[in-house]
Amino acid sequence: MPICSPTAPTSFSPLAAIWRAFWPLRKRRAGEVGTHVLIASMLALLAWAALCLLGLAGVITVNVPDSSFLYRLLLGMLLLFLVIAWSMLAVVRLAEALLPQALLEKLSPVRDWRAAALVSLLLLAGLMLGNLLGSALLALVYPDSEFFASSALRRQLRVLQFLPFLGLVAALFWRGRLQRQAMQAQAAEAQLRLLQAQIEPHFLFNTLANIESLLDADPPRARAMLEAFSDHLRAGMGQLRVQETTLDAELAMAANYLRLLQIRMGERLRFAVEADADARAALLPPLLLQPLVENAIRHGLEPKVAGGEVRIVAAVDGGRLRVQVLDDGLGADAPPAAKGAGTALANIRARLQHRYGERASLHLLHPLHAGGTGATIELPYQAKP
Amino acid sequence: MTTALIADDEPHLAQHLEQQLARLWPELAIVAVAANGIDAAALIAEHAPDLAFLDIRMPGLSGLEVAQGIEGRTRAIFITAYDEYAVQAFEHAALDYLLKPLRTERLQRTIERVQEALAAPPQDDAALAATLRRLMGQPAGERLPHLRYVRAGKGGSVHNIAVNEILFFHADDKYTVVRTASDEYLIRTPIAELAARLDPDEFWQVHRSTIINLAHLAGTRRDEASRLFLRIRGYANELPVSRAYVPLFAAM
Repeated sequence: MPICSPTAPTSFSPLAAIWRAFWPLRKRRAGEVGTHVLIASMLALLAWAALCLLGLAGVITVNVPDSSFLYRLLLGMLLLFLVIAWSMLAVVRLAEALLPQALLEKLSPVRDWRAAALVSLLLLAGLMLGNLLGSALLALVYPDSEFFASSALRRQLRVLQFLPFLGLVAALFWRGRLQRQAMQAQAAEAQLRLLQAQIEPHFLFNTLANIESLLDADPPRARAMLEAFSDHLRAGMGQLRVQETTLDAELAMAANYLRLLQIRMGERLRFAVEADADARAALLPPLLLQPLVENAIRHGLEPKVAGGEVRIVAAVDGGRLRVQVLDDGLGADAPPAAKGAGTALANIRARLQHRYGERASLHLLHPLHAGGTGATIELPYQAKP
Repeated sequence: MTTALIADDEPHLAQHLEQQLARLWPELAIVAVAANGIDAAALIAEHAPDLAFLDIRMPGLSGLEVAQGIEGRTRAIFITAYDEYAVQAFEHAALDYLLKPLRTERLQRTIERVQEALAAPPQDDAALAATLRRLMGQPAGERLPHLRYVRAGKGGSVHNIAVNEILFFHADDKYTVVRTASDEYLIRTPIAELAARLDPDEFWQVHRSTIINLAHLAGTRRDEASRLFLRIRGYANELPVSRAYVPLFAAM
C-alpha cells in the first residue's frame, strides 16, 4: 500500500491516466479539450441516468397521462444536464487560464477549508451559468412547452433554493476528504520521523564509530553491534510497511535499540522490559513506542552525567493495554531544547486519537523531585488472533 | 613532553582515540580521560595539558562549553559525529577538529598541524574566541530587547536591580550570582541566556561562567603562565579570563 504518497497511481492504464488528469486545477496544454468535454458529457449522462431511475419510481406511483410529455421532459433534462456539465467545465478551465499559478497550487489539491470553499463557489458559478444557458436553450427548442418556457430568472431562483442542500453536501464531501488527507499526512509523518531517527547523523555516525573502534579491540562485540544495528534498521523498514503490529514486535525493536545504545554508553545505560504473554500479544499501530524510548534517551539519560535506567512496563488490565516508558534521567530539569520531544508526543497523540478516539490516551509525568520522566500509553486491548 | 586529555562520553570511542594517538604520536602522554564535560573541565584545570580532545556532545557540559572555560594554555581539538555548523565554523577559523568515525589520515594531518602550532610561540587565538561565541550564543530566533533590570528574590522580597549597578554575573551550580557593589543576589537565569540578553557594548562574557560589566572594570593582570585576570571596582577578588576570551582585552 502506498502510504508515503497517497496519491501515487496504483495502476497505469491510459484511461485512468486521462481520468486523473481531468480533475486537478492547473494550466492546461492544448489537445485535452476533446477528451475533457467527453468526460464532462459522460458525467452529465450518469447524473441524468440516476435522475431517470429516481423518476421511474415516481412515474410508477404517480399516473402520468401524457407519455410524450414524459419523453420531452427526459430529453429536455438530458440537454440541461449536458449544458450544465459543459459550463462547469468551461468555468473551471477559464479560471485555470486566468488565475495565477500560485493560487492554482493552493486550490488543487484542496488542503484547507478556504480552498474547498473557493472550488465549491467556482463549481456553483458553473452550475448557475449552465442552468441559465440550458434553460434558454430549452425555451428555444420547446417554445410551446409551458414547463420549459418558464422564465430563466425563476429557474435561477429554483437553483438557489437548493443552495443550503448543495452547501451541506459539499461540506460533508470536503470534510471527509480533508480528514482523510490529514490522516494520511499523519501516518506519513510518523514514518518519516522513524526514518529520520534511523539516519539521524549523530546516531548513525556514532554507531559506526563505535563499531569501528571495536573492530580491533573486541571483534565479537563489534560483530554483535553490527548485527544489532542492521536489526534495528530492518525492524524500522518493516514497521514502515504495516498498519498494525504486535506489542511483542515493538518491544523487540525497542530492546534492540537500547542494546545498541548500551554498547555505546557503557555502564551509563541500564534497561529492563517487563511484559507478560498477554500484553505481548496486543495489537497496536506501529511506532508508538519507539519515539518514547528515543525521548527517554535523548532528553533524559544522554545529557545526564550519571546516566540511568529505562524501564518499559506493559500490562493488560480490565480490557485495556497500558504501556509505560519510565526513565530516571533529567526529567523536568532537561534543557528546554526538547522541542523534538513535543512534536513526537503530538504525533503519537494524533495517531491514537485517529485510531481509537477518546478510548486511548498518552500521559506524561515528570516526578517533581525524583527527576526522570514517565510516559504512559493506554488503549483498548485487542489480542492478535 | 606534550600532554593531552581526552573527553568523550562513549568509552569505546575514548579508548579508540587513545590507541590511535599512541600509534601515530607515541611521544604524546595522555594524562587523563574524562567521561563527561564537568570532569573534563576539572581535569583540564588540574593537569593543564597542552591539548584537550573534546567531544562536542557530552553530558554535563558540551565540548564547546568546556573550551570556553579553559583558563590556561590548553588548546582544544573538537570531535564530533556530525555538526554541520560547527564543522563549517572550525574550517573557516582554521581550528582543529576531528570527525567520527576517525580517519587515520585525517588524524595524522591534525597531529602535524597541532605539532606546528605547539612549536610556535603561544598566541591568543582570536578566531577561537569569535567562533565559540558564534556557536554558543545562537538563540537564532528573534532578538529580544536588552535587559535594563534584573529581578532577584532575596529574603522574601523581590529586588529590581538596574543592570548598570551590576559588577558581574557568575555561574554557581544551578544559580547565577548577581554581584553589585553592596550586595549579592541569586537568579535562575543561566549565563548563556544572560549573555544573549545583555548589551554586548556594556557587558562582556569573559569566561564560561562569568559576564562582567565593562563600566566597573578597573584593570587586568597577567600571571607568569600568561593567564589573564580582571580587577573589578568595588570587588576585592580577581576574576579569571578564559583563554578563548583573552583576545577581547588585547587592545586594552
